[in-house]
Amino acid sequence: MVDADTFSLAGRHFRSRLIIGTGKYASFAETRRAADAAGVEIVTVAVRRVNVTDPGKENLLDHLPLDRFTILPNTAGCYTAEDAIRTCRLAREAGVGKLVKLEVIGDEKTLFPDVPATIEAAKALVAEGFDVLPYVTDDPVACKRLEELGCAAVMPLAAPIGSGLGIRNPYNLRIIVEQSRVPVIVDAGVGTASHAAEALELGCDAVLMNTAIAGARDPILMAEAMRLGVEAGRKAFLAGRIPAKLYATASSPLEGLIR
Amino acid sequence: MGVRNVSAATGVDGGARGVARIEWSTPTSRPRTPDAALFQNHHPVVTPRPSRYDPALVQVIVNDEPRALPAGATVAELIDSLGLGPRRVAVEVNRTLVPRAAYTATPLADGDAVEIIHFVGGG
Repeated sequence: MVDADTFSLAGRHFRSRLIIGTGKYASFAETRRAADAAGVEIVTVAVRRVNVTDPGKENLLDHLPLDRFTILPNTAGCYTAEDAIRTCRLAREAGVGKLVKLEVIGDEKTLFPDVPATIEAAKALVAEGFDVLPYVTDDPVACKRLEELGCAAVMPLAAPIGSGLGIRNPYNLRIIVEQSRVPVIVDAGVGTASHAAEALELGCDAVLMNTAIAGARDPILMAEAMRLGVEAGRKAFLAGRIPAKLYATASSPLEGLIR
Repeated sequence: MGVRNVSAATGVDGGARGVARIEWSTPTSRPRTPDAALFQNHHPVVTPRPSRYDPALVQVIVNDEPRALPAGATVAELIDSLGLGPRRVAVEVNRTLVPRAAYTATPLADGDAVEIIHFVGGG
């Protein structure tokens, strides 16, 4: 019954195992078309100042109605636990719920997370009642700590944000999947549909991406490709793949060969 | 005034016909000065001015920009004046979060630093 295959996150059930970011699209309308083509139920957004001299007529959320999409605000651009906590409080007050994507960046060039600061912020946010989804390196120990302190999921990176390099360390991801009792969501570094499929084949619960879709030549087509990649990967995982072997095993019977 | 004759010394067909006529649109009733363009989406908030000279105004900083408001203006009035009433925004005054329910009961004072955020595209 693959149809009933849902994953639960912070007490809610989702059918789609793809989460997309809403950055870098040409327009709000294109963002929405991509979200529809990707079949997603959760989208990430960033928290930024309103331009008070020109607030604009349209707003991103006009195109992403809350009865259709779960909004996952991020703390992108935060380099300290304090800034990330402040951003999360603002996001919750803006009225989209208590789910937050926590990212505390430790390095400008790689955008790798500052793990100690991420742990510090996660502790404070969990204590304040947030459902915390932390972006973290593909480090099983860091993921373990974040799970133990009460995060609703762990989100190890596949590769640097926006790099499109795909899953750099599938063995670490497998260890993280095996040890975790909260959902494991691969966040960042996916470049194409096979990477998304691989994440799900490894047993990850979901995958989160932005640039891979928004930066594609045809973002809507790539959004559909990612949906199919995620579905294929999930089904392959559920189906149970054959073990990899070095030598051939004939797939046609050896009996009845002509002489 | 609506039509102007322009010598076509530099025009491609200037040699044969001597003079090219360029049609100019009739001026509209609204003067199209840069100032008018700036104030097309005008807000009731008035142009900042040192408030110590005008007791009817308070000077606040909104997202790092100075802005003068009528004395006694609340967060709710600021949000409305910016046309942000129906939007999902969040507000801090002097780094303290102001719950939406408290907007109407939170007056702004001279020198207050207001932060107003909303959601934008992001991963």
